[in-house]
Amino acid sequence: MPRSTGAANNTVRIMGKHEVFFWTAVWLALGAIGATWLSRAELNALQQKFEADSRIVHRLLTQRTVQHDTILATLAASATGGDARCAENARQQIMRTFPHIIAVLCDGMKQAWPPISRSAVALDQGRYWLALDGGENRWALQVDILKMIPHSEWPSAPIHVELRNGHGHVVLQKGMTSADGWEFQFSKKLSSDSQPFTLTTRQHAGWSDLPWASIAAWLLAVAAALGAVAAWRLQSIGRRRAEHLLRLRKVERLNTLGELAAGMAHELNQPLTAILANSQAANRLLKVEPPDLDKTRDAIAQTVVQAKRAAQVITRLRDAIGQPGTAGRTRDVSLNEAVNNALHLLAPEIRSRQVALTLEGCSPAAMVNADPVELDQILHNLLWNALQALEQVGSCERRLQIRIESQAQHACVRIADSGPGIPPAALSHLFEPFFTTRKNGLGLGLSLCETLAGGMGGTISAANRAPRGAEFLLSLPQPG
Amino acid sequence: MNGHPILPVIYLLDDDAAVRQSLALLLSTVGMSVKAYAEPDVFLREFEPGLPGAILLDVRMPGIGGMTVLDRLAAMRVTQPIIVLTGHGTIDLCRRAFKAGAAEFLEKPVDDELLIDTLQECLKTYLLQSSRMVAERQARERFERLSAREREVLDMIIAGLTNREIARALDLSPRTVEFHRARVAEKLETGTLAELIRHYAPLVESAHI
Repeated sequence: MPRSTGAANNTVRIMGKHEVFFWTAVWLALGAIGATWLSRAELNALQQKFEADSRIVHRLLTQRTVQHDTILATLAASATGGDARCAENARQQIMRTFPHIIAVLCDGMKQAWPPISRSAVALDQGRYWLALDGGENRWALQVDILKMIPHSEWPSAPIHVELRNGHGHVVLQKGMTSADGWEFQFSKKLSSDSQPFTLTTRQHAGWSDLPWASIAAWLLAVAAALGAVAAWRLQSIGRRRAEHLLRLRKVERLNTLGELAAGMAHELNQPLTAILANSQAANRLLKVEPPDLDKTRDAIAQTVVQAKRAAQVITRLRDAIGQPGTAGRTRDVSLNEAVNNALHLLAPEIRSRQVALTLEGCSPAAMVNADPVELDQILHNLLWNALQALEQVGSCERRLQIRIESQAQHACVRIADSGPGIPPAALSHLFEPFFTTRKNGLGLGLSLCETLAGGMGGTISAANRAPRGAEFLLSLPQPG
Repeated sequence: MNGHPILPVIYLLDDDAAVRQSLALLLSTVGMSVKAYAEPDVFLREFEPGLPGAILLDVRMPGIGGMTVLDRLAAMRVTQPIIVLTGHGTIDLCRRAFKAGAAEFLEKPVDDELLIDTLQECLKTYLLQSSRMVAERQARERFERLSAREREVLDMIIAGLTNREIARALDLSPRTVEFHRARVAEKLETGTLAELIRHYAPLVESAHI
């Protein structure tokens, strides 16, 4: 069973001020949460990298300090042969091999012995002396801390590295510092007894290190998602409102009708009462012998006056309501969309009656020049009539066929049901006001439909179908 | 109440002059005298509850509405029948009118036969009731003239006791009972026993309660 597609919703609504505030606040809150999370993740990653770098530096420096001890031990051991020249070859070779060892001193050399304290290694402009007391031979090395680690082996990150002991400190590499942002710090003693330096590294992470691209992407994603939700909500609110308005309009129309009927009843009943009483009084006056002709004449004159008064009430009423003219209210409307709208509103009724619905739209959509509200009302009435007719047949025989056709000058919609059809005697009175075949019908629905269609330059007609059922044809002029 | 000296008056209350004129004319053809009013206030001021009559009332009027007039009349304990006339009779309005004491509810435009019959029926019922009420009031007044002993005797007469039985029950001599009995008949202005029972049995019974 082909089903009608969901009616296109073209409700346009402007967001209220506080709704804009609300959605902006939600966006900012979600954005802030996401940005914080992303930043923390990034800072954590930075810190881990920093700590890894710091450990590499620590390992390299520890290796060097251990190396110094080994070199001194080796020199002392090799010199026990008693080479008075203090193994000049070895010295030269050591300084070549290890560029950060800038001086090697031997006790035997006639050179001023630098001030070396075994227990506290003095730092002097990034250099320090390290000595080993090997008995007959004393050896000492001067190390340039700044050259201890060749440039190629440094970690790439701009971390601040310094070594310190009790006497001073040497900055091996200067890092960036800034007042704001975050600072990572790492501090560990070198694992060397002879050179007990403490390595301290620091790294600064500034605002520019935050993952701005990811944050921007996140904000955009949140905005897009919220926009979609807001749009969806607006649309569903709009749809609900439209349906509510339609219901309200229906009730309002009924109330107005009731009020009108009550008012009209009163306005007409007063002169009618007078007419009836006067004419009946005249009748009675003429029956007595002798008849009171003066009184009778008065009564009849009053009857005339009151009959005119009743006619005026009707005239006034017609003027007040006015004929439904459509000048200036018609516009180009898609007949397909109007039919879909009407079906959408009646969808629950169609479902509950288990009606098999066939909708043959035409492509491209048939356009008509009509007042959309009145077109809605006509379609609603015709469909509602068809549904009521279908109630009179078994639920498996309920078929509703709707066909939209586009012709040369007109576009039309055929609404055909498989109900009992229209009694032949009723067919010619169908569009007359107050004509109804229903028990509680007012007989105004089809009359109104015809008036409305006529006002828009269209026509509406009804016929019976073979073998059974009724077909209504609404034809409206195409634009242009 | 045969040949009541005063003719019943139909009070007609409607804001529409044509309705007042036509209904007054119609009712005059059957010899009813009509007093027509446009203003509820004027009507309420001039209405005489003591005189026999009936009230024809339009419930949809400007100013104080017909329903308010009904309520006022009920507060005045008016016994005259009230016939409500309306141009748009809803069930709700009808129910409210009867609750407020309306005797009949007619829809405009009203047929002459229906209106006249209804009015005459209501008037007949009203006159019957009011004459019954007059008789009851008289009986009560007379009954109240009786002394305690006389009431006891009356009580027993109505219960069907003979003079001798009454004398025994009240420990009196039959002559004394005879004397009381004559006083009762004199005070209640009744000649026969049947009349006495018909008029005073309800009063005696209500006095027991």
